[in-house]
Amino acid sequence: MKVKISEWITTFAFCAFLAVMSVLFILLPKQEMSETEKRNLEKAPEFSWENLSSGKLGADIESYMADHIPGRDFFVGVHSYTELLTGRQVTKDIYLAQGDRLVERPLRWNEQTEKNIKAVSDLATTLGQPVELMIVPSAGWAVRDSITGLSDEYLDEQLIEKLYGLAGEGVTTRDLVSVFGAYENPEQLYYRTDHHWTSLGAYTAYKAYMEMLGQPYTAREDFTVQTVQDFKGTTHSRAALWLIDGEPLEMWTGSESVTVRFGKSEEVHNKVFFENRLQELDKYTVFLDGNHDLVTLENPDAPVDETLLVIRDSYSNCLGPFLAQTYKKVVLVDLRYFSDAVADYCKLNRVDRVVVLYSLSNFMTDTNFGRLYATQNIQNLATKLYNAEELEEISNFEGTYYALSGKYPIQCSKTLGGSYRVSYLGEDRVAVLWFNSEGEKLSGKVYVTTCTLDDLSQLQIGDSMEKVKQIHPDACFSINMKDNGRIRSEHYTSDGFLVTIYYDQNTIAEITTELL
Amino acid sequence: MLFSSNVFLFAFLPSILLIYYICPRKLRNPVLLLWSLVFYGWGEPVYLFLMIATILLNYFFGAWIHIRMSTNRSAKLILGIGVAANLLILGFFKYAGFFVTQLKAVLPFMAAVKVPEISLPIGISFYVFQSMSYIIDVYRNDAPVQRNVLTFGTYVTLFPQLIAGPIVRYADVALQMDNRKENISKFSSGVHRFIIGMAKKVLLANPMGSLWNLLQVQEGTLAAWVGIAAYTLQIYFDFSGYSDMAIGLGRMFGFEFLENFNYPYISKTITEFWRRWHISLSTWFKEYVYIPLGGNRKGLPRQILNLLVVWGLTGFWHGASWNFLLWGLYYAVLLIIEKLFLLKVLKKLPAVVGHIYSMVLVLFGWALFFFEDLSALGAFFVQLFKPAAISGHCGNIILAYLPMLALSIFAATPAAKVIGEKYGDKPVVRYVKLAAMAFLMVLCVAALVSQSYNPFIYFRF
Repeated sequence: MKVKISEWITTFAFCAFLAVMSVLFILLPKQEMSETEKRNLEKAPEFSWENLSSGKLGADIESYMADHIPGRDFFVGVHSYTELLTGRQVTKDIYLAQGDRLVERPLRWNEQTEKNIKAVSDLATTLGQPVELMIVPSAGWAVRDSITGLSDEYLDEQLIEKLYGLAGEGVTTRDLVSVFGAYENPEQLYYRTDHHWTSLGAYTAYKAYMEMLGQPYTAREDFTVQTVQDFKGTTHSRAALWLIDGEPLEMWTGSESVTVRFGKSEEVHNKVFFENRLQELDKYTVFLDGNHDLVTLENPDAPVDETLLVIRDSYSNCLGPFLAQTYKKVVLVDLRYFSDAVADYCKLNRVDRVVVLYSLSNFMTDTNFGRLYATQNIQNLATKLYNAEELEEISNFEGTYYALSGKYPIQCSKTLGGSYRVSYLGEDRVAVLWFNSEGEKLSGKVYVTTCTLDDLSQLQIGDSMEKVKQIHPDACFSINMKDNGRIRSEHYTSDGFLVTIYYDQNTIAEITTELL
Repeated sequence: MLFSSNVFLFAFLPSILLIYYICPRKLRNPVLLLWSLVFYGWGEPVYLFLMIATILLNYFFGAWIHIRMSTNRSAKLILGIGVAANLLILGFFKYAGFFVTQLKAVLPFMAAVKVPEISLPIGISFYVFQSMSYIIDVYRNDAPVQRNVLTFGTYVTLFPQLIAGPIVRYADVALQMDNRKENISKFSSGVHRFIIGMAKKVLLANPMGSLWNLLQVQEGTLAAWVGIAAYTLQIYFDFSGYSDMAIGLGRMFGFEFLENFNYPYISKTITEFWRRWHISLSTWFKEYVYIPLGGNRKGLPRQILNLLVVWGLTGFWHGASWNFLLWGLYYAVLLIIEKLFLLKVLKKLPAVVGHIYSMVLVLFGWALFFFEDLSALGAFFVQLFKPAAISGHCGNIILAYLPMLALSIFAATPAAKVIGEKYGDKPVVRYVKLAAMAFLMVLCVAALVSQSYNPFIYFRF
């Protein structure tokens, strides 16, 4: 039988495709970071007999190949468009709206929201001072009538109304929904390719808020606007619809005398826009240098000599400089990174006005509101008890902080000197994992919690190691090489504390206690 | 290793094709054996030892049976021991945990015994059945003994069908093991078949699986019906897609495997369904269990018993859990009822009745198959039959997947094949097909690569 030309072509094309892909995979230089995903790509797996025999090597090679396959972005885009064109958008996280707008899917009420609003009410009670609450509706809500294809309903108005209804007496709610709703083109208040509000959006909120308070504000004309082109934000990354172009990002400069300090550092920056950040993957960090636990803005030329404390998410990276047009001192607190209790901070520092200002999405999902009025431990934070098997699995979890959170929602997370400690509670044990600031896993282990803080508090400096072992036979002893080989023992207590004891020649030299 | 993975497509497959075709014919089987072992050991290298032991064991029993028979002595006992040894391997690795758990429930003195934690060696149900077919075929003189242990190893481990079938009986490929012809026509038809199979798995089965996952947590009658329909489609495309890929890959290396699926969802009766679904497994049980038990030759009561045994085993072969047994027996009962009278009744009714009857029973069957927990199964059936509205969100999910559902249902019928045949073997049709294959291939790779696309959302606050 004669071989047909089409058969030759099929054979050749198939083999050529496989060959080209594999040769390019081998030859092309490997990227370290994915620009679109804003994460580190897998590194080349290391060979070891242990990895090989456990099958881990095989899995690692697959992830490595998947991350570095030639034309990866192209293929990812093809898949996103396939899903969009076959109508599956409504089941995805990002919706496409008219005018190439990419917005997050609608939010639904959840338990965390109720906890968070209660935490804000409790803060007002603890402070004995009114607390203001202003929630920003989502970008999807602003374009709810122009979503392409099917869409679940955007209930931002109802959700915010319900939230405000639950706020305690000491909370003054500030309505931004009607301000944004009344705006002629509400979509201009948000980016097309990012979930944040634009500078115009932040300015509109600033102006409305100052009007509500009866305070002066800087007129729009008095700002000089600098524009950067081709900003592609988070929703662009997540949707992977690459045919959608970037957009301009505006920096509005008002008073030149605003200074910025980050965290507890004394270093003063004479700028609010960090243009070096524009070279980075996430250009939104140009506003106040991205996320910091504590940002202090000071403006000696501002008309109102008061301190405004804003408990906030990243929307205020853009809003903060506007507020500093009016207030001499504006303090921005990010609960995800701020490890002290905010109520304590307010008492120690003179604060005239406290406002909780969040995007609806973050307010409904942030799990760090416990840090408002008192630092909370795992016993208060955890809503779920895991069994021993699950804890073992969690502690062996291989992946990023984010991936872990996707599988086992993170309820108890503490920031300690640039790394995160995440804990999961069980009946008589806890799983504790460490992540670095990049969100990469450092270690994980399950500890048995058979003693309480009370049991351990009888220990004193100078007591013997034997006594510790008697009180807590399950304690985990280790030698810390970084600390001159000092022996230490870690005790995770059943009431949510971590007690670390350091020894010197088998006697206790130091005891530290912290919340888990 | 999975066919639908980057490692397989862009490292394993190109390298085996290259090495296979530059090797002289003599070395081709050993090369296939070696790469099949790499393929098998990729995820769980420990079980390579089990694989090699299985090969040696059956090679040895095949030879022993052959020697006894060629000297006119009975090999029945040896066959018995060989089969028992295979069943022991399967029993230990697949069913030990299940049986210990069951015994503990009824026997108080077993309480102290620990349930063995054995992870199931991938593909064991398939390759043990294949190995058994070899010694039985040799015993029955259906196939010659294989003298070369490497060639025999190649047969057992042949990577295209190693993990999920089809179960290739030794008699069917005995000749191909030593004498097969690779050529361009075969290779190109293999490429077609492989791409079709991968498209079934990646472009249809996976979305149907996502739909089923989304709907499982939704309430309402419609959610249950659409959900189980999606699962029904998922399991078909997953399994038949895998078989297609296996058949296609086989052709690329010159093998011809028998078909494993023949559009099962167009059946008008359950009897027909089982002639079209997982044909290699039904054939295996028919050849090696049903007929040796006497089949239909020993009277109706015996035939009914035989059917119950065969289908109980078929069910149990799918997994060590009660629901699989129940699923098998469910089909036994249906088949018996059809044999007794229903087939005749159905024949007289319009075809559409038969289609609906079969499809509904198959849907229920997959529900039995899916829910390992019997109380969850009960709850699911309540949801199927208790009228309840679905939420707006659930309605949106279903609407969103309508195009994929329609496409999947279309692909589960021979419609495309019929249309293709109508236009005959004209060059233009061939090039349209070629373009379609290239398109499907790109979509498949896109879907595969996308699985690893994971924007780090922590930065988004």
